[in-house]
Amino acid sequence: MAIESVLLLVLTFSFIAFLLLGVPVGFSLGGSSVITTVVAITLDSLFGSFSGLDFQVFSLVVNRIFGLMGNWVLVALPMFILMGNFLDKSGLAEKLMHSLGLITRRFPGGLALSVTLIGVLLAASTGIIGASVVLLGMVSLPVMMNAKYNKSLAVGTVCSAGTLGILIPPSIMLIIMADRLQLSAGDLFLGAIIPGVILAGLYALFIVGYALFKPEFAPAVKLEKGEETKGGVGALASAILPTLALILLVLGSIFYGIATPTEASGLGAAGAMILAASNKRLSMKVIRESLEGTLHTMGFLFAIFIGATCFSLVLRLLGGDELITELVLNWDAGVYTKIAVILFIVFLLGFFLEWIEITLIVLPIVGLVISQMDFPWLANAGMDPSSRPSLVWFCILFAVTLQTSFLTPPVGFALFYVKGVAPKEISIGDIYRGVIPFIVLQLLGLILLMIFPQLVLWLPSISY
Amino acid sequence: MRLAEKFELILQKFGKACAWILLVLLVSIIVQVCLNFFSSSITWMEELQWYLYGISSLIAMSYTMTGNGHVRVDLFHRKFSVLTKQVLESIWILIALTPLYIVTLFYGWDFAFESFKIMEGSADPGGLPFRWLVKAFIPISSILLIVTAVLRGILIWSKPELLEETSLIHGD
Repeated sequence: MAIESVLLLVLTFSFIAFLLLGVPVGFSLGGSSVITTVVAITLDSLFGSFSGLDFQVFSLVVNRIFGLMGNWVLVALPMFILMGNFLDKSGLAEKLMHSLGLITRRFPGGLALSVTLIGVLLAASTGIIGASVVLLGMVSLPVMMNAKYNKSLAVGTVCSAGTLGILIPPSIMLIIMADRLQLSAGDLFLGAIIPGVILAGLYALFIVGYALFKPEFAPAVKLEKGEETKGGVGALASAILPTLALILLVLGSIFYGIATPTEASGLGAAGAMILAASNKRLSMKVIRESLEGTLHTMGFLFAIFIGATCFSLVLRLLGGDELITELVLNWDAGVYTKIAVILFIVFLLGFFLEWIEITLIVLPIVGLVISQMDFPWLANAGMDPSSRPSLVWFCILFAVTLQTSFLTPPVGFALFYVKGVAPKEISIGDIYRGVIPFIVLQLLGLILLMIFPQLVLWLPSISY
Repeated sequence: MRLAEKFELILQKFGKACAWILLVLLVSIIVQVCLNFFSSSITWMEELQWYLYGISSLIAMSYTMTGNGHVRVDLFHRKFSVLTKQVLESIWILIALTPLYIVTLFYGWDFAFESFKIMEGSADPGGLPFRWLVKAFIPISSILLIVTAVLRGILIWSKPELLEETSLIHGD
């Protein structure tokens, strides 16, 4: 067996062992790379082999870390995370749930629809899948339980709407994808809008259909005497309009080319701060906690960045990249079969890993493969070939797949987060049953996007 | 042990103070957007932004460590006994974290020192000087992270509650 294969095995197994023993992800990646390097040096000196791996080569990592620091696109990360933190603390979710609930609860399924809408509106991702699922769950589950909603429907709605946040821009996952594949973050943001709306629309159709056929599972709430619904529309407008304005400010400025994603991230964070202030939730304490929370998230993100940099470097030096790429390219199957298999592997990986490490390590390798594939629709994609439309399209498929993975029993991340905040009477079985219809909808959405790439590529092709 | 606790508290306070760098970053982006609006720009502004982002992110790693906030796969970990967790925690800090950040400490020091010798600044006219200072944060943050991690490896034996994730986001 060649020395490279032995070392690749050491790298893979030490990484998996660290991971399963509960070592933080960033240090599992970094630690397994250093251990592999040490093993390489030992084997080389014992058996006179030449692995090409030693600390002199490994020290390239330092240049790469500086590259991570000097990356102007990544400056958008802390700002979008800060925006998410301000929005979480702004009390907007409660306010939206309250005012939307007042109006929609009179219709079967109305409350569940409100949750989906709030999920789309407040999609600003703090980078933690848990954050939006937990927030939505806390705000809406007690209300839906009071209204005697079917438990499974209630949790399923929360999980699906909450995980949609990693897809709907401004999503920090899309920024990291753009950085890894040298795509424009603006293209990815714009490309994700229609798919996000389609998925939310599918959820909404399902909820409406469910409520029509089984109204007793998603009942309308009878208003008690003395409860006023007048003024509900005004309250609703005052809750929704500022949120909408913020989204339009961020995405619109990118669409019209007025601002780069980094500048838009600053505008978004400032806008979210103003929203919190106008909701009378902004205090020194909230500012401090939002800043500290952002630094906290950046800390684990950066540790994973550095770990993934080491891991990718060692993987490449040992020829692991080429091994995988050649395996896929030489495999005699149609492009769509290949893509389906790649996405299925990504789906399985999503059971064990967070989106960050999958995006950092797997995406660059399969991205290389995808960019060498030819698609019949590519010539009429309407996008400049230099902005690499096939990769933009693939990134969105990748993102939808990851989101589905986080929803899928038995180990999807979203399920555990929602269990943590759900009222006691909701069992893990209710949660598993609740998400299944939404997983089917995800697959339907994914197939639509595969068949009609224009759903992704149209908006980027007509922007600035 | 007292000393270790005090030291950890200082590190945490330091991290919290560094969180304000992000507010400076926010302000500088807003100023830049305003300047762009009047179609003027300042070259060093863009550099300042990535300096601030890069430095704060590096320091953030040790801050997150003080709150046990580095994400892990919790599939089996939460079922381990306290003793198992303590042993595992000490081992990975010793064999997974420390060696890597000793490498970045030494090579990062060379990297920054090479830059210092030529007093490297920005390649652009009108850019910021002292690029070596930014590079110096690679070895500085490596030391910070190693110290924080080793302190944690010692403190978890007397304070097992540190194994729980203390949410820095909500607590004080």
